[in-house]
Amino acid sequence: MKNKIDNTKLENELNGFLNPVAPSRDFINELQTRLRLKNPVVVEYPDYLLPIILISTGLFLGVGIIWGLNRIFQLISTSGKE
Amino acid sequence: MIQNEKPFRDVLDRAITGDEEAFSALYRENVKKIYNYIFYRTGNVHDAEDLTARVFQRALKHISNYKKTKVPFSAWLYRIAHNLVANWYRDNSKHKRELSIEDHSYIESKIDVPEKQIEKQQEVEKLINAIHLLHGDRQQLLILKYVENMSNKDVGLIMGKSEGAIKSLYHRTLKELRRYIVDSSEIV
Repeated sequence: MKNKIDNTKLENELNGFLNPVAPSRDFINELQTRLRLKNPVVVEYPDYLLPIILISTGLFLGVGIIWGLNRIFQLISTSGKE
Repeated sequence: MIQNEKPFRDVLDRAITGDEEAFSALYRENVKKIYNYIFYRTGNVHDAEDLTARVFQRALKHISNYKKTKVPFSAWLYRIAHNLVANWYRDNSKHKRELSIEDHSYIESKIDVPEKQIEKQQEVEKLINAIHLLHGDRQQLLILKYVENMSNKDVGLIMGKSEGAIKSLYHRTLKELRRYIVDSSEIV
């Protein structure tokens, strides 16, 4: 019985003191603006563009390395004959 | 706007597909309740505003992954808020989390007798400090029940528990809260 009375008293206190708290209007408006700015307009590139760039770069570098090595070997062999 | 009505479902569908106006509408619908929840969990305006902002930034980032179920959309926001507050407690565990008089001047007592305002403010502070000693789930239960005036069934939907489980948790919460209040009165 005592527990029930204590609970009722506590519930009355909770009911009396726990009330909604209003956030400031400025905060609500500023946050709404910030949320909109989080979503700027983005230019979308096609999904296949990045793989093409990577493969092309790789091929270009590969060809460049092979050409460079070829030149080095030619220079070495030419200087060796002299 | 009741969250099961057709217009709300349309707004939610549009927000999920990236419609900014629709997300703004959801924001307006839910910002006060999320703020309230976080304010009572953290005990101060500054952290409440900071964490509320992070809740909605995270919601905006992940809304395209949101799966519509029978559980209200606000439950998802409350879950994000609950997790951010848990992280906040972890990061601020070394600091005292007591509510200051200035901070809870926002809280208006329903008992509006001027000469008893200071006494009532001290009682509010004692009560809220005791609430802060409870486990996060129990704090959430009290805030949803008393600040948002939710029924046990609605609280259960938000917290992912049955109505019966909420009733049981509620009685255990009151018992624990009574003990904390009595203990703090004995210290004073």
